[in-house]
Amino acid sequence: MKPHFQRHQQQEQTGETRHKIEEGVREFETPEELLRYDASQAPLPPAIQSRLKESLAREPAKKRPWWRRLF
Amino acid sequence: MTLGFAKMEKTAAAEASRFETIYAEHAHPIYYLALRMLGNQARAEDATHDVFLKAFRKLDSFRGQSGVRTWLYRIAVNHCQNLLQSWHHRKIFACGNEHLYEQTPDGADHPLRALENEELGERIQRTLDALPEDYRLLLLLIADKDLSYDEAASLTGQSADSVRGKLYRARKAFAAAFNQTA
Repeated sequence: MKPHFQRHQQQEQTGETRHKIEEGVREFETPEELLRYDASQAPLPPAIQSRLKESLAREPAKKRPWWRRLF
Repeated sequence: MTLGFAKMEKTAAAEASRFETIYAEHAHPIYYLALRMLGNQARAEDATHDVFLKAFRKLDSFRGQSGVRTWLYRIAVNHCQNLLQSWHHRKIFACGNEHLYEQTPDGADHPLRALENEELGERIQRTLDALPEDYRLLLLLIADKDLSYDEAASLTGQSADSVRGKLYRARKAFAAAFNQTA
């Protein structure tokens, strides 16, 4: 850790990702940390769930084996 | 028979409730995997929808031999790989770059630095696109803290020891490619 950076450095916790920020520059120790940060910046689009609900509503009722119908 | 019908309705409702829980817990990591494998938000949305629809259809046959997350990843990886093959999007890894990657110090010595104001997502995508497919997939799976090395090994068809060795090379390759995109 370079001392002259420490003055401007802060730690940030984003989800489960830990990385450093130095004067507008983010620093990640491993690609996995970088990818975790990236994932935290890519939220799940809510449109997928509504589309999925529509698709599931169109699904035919599942045929169950006779033994599952009885028990 | 009325009792049996009521039981069937109850079972269907329970299944729907179970599936909603599965979606709530696992949809985001599946979407992120699709996003970075396919490199496009609209395609990732379509793929996530299709993966969960397939999962719903196969829910009866899921016996719990693996974790739910692993099971969903398996469906997602197969789905995305099929799409990539059909689009002829397979990337050819230039052999000359391997030498460069081997010379690159690992990530622990040289942290990955990125400006906050740049389009980091695009840079990450370009980096992943430049990697061999097995490195890209391994890094994306290992980045999920809920997935063990053994589960990542199972998903990539390797032993856990092979995964550790390949992960070391994948990290170096990523660092080299990422720095080239600066």
